[in-house]
Amino acid sequence: MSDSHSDNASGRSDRPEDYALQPKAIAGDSALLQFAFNLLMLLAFAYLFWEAMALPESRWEPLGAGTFPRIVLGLLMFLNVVMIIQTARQALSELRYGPRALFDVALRTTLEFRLVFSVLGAFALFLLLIRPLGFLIAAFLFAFGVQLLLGPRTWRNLVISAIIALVLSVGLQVLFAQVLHVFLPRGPFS
Amino acid sequence: MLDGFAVGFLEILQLATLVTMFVGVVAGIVASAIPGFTITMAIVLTLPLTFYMPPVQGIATMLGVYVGGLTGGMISAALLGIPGTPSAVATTFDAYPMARKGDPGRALGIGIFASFFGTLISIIVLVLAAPPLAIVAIGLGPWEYFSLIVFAMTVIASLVGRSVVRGLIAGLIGIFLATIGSDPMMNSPRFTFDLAMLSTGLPFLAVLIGVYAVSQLLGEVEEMRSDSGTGEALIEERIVFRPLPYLMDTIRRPVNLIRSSLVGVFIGAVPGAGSSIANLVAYDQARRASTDPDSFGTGVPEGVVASESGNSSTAGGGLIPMIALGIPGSAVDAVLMASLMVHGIAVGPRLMVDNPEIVYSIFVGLFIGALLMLLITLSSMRYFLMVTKIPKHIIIPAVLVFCAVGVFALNNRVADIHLLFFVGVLGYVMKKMDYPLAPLVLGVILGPIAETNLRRALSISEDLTLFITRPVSAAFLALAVISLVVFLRHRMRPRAGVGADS
Repeated sequence: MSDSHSDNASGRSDRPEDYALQPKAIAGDSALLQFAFNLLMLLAFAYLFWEAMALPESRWEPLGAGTFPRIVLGLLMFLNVVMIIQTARQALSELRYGPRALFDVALRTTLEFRLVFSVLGAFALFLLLIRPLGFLIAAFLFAFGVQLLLGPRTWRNLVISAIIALVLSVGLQVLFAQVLHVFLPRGPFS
Repeated sequence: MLDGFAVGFLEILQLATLVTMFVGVVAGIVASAIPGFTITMAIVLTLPLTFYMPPVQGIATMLGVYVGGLTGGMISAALLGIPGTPSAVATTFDAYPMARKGDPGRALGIGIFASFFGTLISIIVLVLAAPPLAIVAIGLGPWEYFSLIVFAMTVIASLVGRSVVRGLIAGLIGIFLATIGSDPMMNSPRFTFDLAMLSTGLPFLAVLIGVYAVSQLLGEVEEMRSDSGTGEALIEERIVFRPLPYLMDTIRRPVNLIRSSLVGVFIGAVPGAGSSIANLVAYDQARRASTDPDSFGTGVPEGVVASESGNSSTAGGGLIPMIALGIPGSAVDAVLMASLMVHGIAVGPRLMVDNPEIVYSIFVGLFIGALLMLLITLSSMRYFLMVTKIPKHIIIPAVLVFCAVGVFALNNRVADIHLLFFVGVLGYVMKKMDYPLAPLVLGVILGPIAETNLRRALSISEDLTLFITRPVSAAFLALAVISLVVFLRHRMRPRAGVGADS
């Protein structure tokens, strides 16, 4: 948290914006990122609003299927515009650091979050593999892999991880089948 | 009323129900004793297991998890100085110093009894307040109902998180997510983009688990670099447990106990605010009222009593608007509501009339849950300390697997599991961007109710002015505007946000 990036690209040493160069700060603290996020939301909601225009009217009631979503999306667009106006000035001042510094921040943030991205990737893979491999195998691989990823790289942890992954995958499958009569996807191997 | 309670006791005091409640209380204590795992997460993950139980047993089990969870956060708060859940933050202020000074048993003992009495007081208020409120609420027309939800949503959005506008955005995103699928009046598909995955809408459970479990776990992963876990501050001394003196310690402070509990009940009843706010406010109030405020923070019993009764009493408080109005007081209450809805029980002011046995079972279930909590913690507190030692690299993948299974269990659809991923990422990104998640979840549950009432109101009469000419509706809308204005002004001065979920 301490290694703040002192040589900012534009050579300015103004006080208020230097947190922009601290990737460790919560992402929510960078005005530029907030600005981009709100802009993205604004575009998405505008698209959905346009999509909602096509929803059918009703003969039986004054509001059709589309009115309520249009109200909600309209409010969302308005609030995002408010946020964009609020953050615009700060976001622009962060832009002054130039692309290099910003790229640096982005890179360091990515590195900072690499564990999160790895776990997220593993989770996505697990969810996608449930159908083709069956729950048992997919859950075992996921639980085993993530424990190794996050835990200490020792032989002891390897063994413990394997045992826990086995108990977890088999245990859940049996528990759900026997007690709750929910049959988790079995896959081709069982 | 008395025969209502008789029915309630008959429903709850069945072997199967008591067994699952017992397991629920233990699970709640264990889950919230582990730092980084919230009560909401524990309840959300219990939900899929309760689909396969009769409604009363299901809700009683979840109440067990709830009551256990509200107490369990204290264990690591008192012994490690780390709040097991956000609702035990204030408990660390005095329980931890007390434990450090060589009296860990007393810190835990007072906390347990304070939790117990806090829950008890909240049940009394709940029983007295919910039925009359429900009778009033039955008379509300769709105009009033719509305005009430607008009011509730503005309060939720303003109370949690650091920015009112972001709170509102989060709430509206929740409402929007609930419009995906078929519309409630005409059944025409909305925003499904011809995807089979979306055709039946977003299952509420996928949203809950995604937002409260998956995104939370990802947050835990992130913290794994910085601190290598707990253990350093561990109290090695043997914990001596003397229930009776601790009981006396607690009830000898009746004013503090009752005040803190009422604070908890009130905060619990306000939509969106929950135990994570209540324990801090109750502690603060106790300190202000004390003749010796400077002693707070050094390990005084008053602080422990205030914090633990303050957070536990939100259980009863949050159920007041849920039972009387069908508006959940917190995310946990939203989950309880969802569990009833899965069983086809409509939650709203008519619940009291149509399913009184459910309501009385909730009253009794909360009470039995508190008793079980007392028995379990007093007899085996020591063992719960061990769970705080389970390393996170084991818990995180295990709970993630359980998330997937839980979502699958609702409809037996693999597509729901895939949705879970997207909701989890959405929740995580929003949390990182400093958007509170509680309004989102409550928006998902309140959105359809708001839409149905709005459309019903306009089908009766197309006159929009009815929303402001009918006095009760006008009052709610005025309150909504006032709360927004007050909070917007108040929040202009930046200050640290209070915990977003309970």
